[in-house]
Amino acid sequence: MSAAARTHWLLALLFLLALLLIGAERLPGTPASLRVLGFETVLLLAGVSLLLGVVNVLALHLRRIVLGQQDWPLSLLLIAVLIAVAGAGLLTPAGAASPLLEWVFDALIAPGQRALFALLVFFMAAAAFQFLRIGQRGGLWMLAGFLLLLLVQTPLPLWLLSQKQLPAAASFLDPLTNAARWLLDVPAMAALRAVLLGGSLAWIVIGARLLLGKP
Amino acid sequence: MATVLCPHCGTPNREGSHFCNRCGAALLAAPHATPPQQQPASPATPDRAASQPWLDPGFVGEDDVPLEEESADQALLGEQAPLPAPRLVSALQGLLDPIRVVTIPQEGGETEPSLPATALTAEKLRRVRSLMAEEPLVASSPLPVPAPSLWLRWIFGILAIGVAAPLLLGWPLPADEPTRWTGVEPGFDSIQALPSGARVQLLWAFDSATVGEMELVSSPVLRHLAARRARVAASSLLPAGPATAQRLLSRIDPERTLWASPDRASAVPSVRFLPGGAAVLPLLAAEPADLAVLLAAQAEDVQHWLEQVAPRNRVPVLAVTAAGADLPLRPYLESGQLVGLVSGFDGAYQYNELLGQPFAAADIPLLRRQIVGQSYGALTLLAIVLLGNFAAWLAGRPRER
Amino acid sequence: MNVDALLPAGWAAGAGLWVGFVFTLLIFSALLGDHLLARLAQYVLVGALLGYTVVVTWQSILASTWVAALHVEPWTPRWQWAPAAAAAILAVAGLGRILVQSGLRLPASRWLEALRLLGALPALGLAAVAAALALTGSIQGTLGPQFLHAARNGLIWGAPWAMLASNLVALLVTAAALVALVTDPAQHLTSQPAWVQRLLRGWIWLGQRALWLAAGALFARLFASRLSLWVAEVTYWTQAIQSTELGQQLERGWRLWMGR
Repeated sequence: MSAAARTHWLLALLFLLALLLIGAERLPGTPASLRVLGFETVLLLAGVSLLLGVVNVLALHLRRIVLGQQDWPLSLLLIAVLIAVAGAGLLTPAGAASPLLEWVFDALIAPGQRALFALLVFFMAAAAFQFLRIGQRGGLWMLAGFLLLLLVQTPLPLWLLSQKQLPAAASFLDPLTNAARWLLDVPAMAALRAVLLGGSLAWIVIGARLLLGKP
Repeated sequence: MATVLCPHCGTPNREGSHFCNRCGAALLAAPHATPPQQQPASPATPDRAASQPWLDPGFVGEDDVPLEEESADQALLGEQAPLPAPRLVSALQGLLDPIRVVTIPQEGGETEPSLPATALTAEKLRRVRSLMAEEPLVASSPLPVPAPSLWLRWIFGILAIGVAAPLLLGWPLPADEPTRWTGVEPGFDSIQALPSGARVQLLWAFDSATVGEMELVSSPVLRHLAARRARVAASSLLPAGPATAQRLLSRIDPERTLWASPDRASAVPSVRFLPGGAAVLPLLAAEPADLAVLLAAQAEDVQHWLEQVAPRNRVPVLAVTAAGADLPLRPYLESGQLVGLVSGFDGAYQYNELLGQPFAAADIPLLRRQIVGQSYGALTLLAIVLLGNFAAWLAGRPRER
Repeated sequence: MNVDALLPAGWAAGAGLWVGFVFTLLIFSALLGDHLLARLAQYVLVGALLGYTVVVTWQSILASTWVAALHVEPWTPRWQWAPAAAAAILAVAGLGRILVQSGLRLPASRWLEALRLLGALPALGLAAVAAALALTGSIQGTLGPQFLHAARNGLIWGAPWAMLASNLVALLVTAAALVALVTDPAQHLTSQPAWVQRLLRGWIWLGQRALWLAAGALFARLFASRLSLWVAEVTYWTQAIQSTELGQQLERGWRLWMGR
């Protein structure tokens, strides 16, 4: 048996065991302390995995520095910042609540994260320019869904349509909004429910494959 | 592939091109460039370029026609590959689809149907293109760090101005109020019905990355919980979640009424960080509670709670989410698995209205700015989408529907 | 060692505001193209965030729960050592694997090989538990309730005709979208009789359109979400800068220039 096959069968065995434990955990007689210990163990292993992930990033950037790859000075900077922040936090009893770490959070982490996520809207606009086109596959329908929701959620188009300068707009505004609501509440919602059901069915297939040793 | 350097901006263009692919300058008299192996390497690493194609200087968007490689046998036979028709590159330098304005007839080859724009002369085309091009750079070699394709910059610029200008210049607020979504009122009622001292589980599934939106929608709900004298036990799925929670809670609840007595004595509210996502959520099912309030920027976190915790402890769940998480969670609201759903700037506005004064006073100015930004932003996006469709129509290359 | 003494309290808050502002501008400058300063800001952000994550994880998981508990009462109860041992094995085996992947050559040893195999157990166990929880959770939290809701609401005899029609459409579209998601016409339909093919193709056609419609609506809502972040960012920095002395001077200049 190859190493990969051994791993697959071990995973299948552990998966079966986990299913049995989850089933047993739901039984009324199961001690609560045992249940808590089980999930605290998962929490501990997840924490260690997270730390291993950080070490992996460190190793990756160290390798870039050693090999002198492109942007290696930036890798050096990343490692220096990582070690400085982690060291400062671990050396003080207050940890993340220490003034230095709070300053790092307020001056670097929070503004950086906020700025990075605020940029996403620009790339979404670029995607809209590119893909919400009538000629694209499915583009007409996506464009319709997009416009319907925009009509329902944004005050300005409704406000513009209902102005006195556009007297004819008032007569079709209400039916249009009602139709948009119906399309969003019925067919679009049905499609989203189907996506949820499809996701669950996919997990059943994944589970079956795991049990058969074919992940 | 042999290339020609643009005398204007230094961009390498395919040999035989009449105009520069980037700036639109005439190329016929341009000197031949170095062979491809001497072309400067892309500064964007392949990995980054794969995940973020806009960082790759060669990225021109799906619309633009890439420089095609000449086939080896054509080169061996000394045949000239068919020249691409001169394009109104990306007409407004990329804002529009590449248009084959003039078709150069090839011997024995098929000609493409001409578009009405054939009336434009080459000189006019050059002028239009240079008008919309980047600043004229006189360079004999390509720029060391080329910027992304220009159409992307145009879109970024249009959107930035379309949203920031109304905010900074104080443009008027639309008279209409944001839409009212189902789910906000039942959510409000679920907190209103809590007895004083009720235990509430709080899942803090957002951090500073999404605090701009989540603060708007979480604040009225947290104020409402504080007004109902609820006792909160909070956990976060993100490392920066506890710090974000402490900052927001210290503003919203300075009296620390939300915190159960042991925590109220401590210096900071305690929010436990739980790495491991859905795999550790069942741990929270053991905590006794009257209501679970999920403050989540992503639909998945609410879905995981409904799959891992709610079936175990049968505690009613109220989801307070970003607007993007709203639609995927609506089926759960319809099926009754969620007692309420408050999402986005419009959900926040509606909740504040239900909450009434004086609680809403702090949030209303911020929400009004959001409504202005959203309104003009939506109009700007409509214009961008319209441009995209106009570009596709001009290109006359309808794809499969 | 008191590292907090490195931070003079007097100017920390003011400096933090301006550091954050410059940092934000550097990250925003990525919109103009890829350049060194934008990359520098991104690397610093990742470094700071990872360092912060290490501190929070150590503090809230390892130190507070396990290290403290085992330090205070090492042998009561003894079975608490089992999870700690699994975590230690995972850590050591994981570190070894990372070192090997980094190109470090460890000496061949039976002990190291055994440790590597032993380390696979907690890692695979974690994956197995996560998969089992996802499977059972999706059945009890999504598949069951959503299927029941769709089935129950589809046909309510005696309901007003408009409601009945809407419910029927919802049921039909749910099934159609599900069929469109799980069926590959080229693979699954070719061996079917012609009338089944026609029926299913029609159904898939309907399901696909509903999925596209939902995707468009989802995009618009997601855009509103991301737009909120941009608006909040502009608002935050406008107000934060306005509150500083320099900001107030700039505002006065702006008002003079605008004639207000």
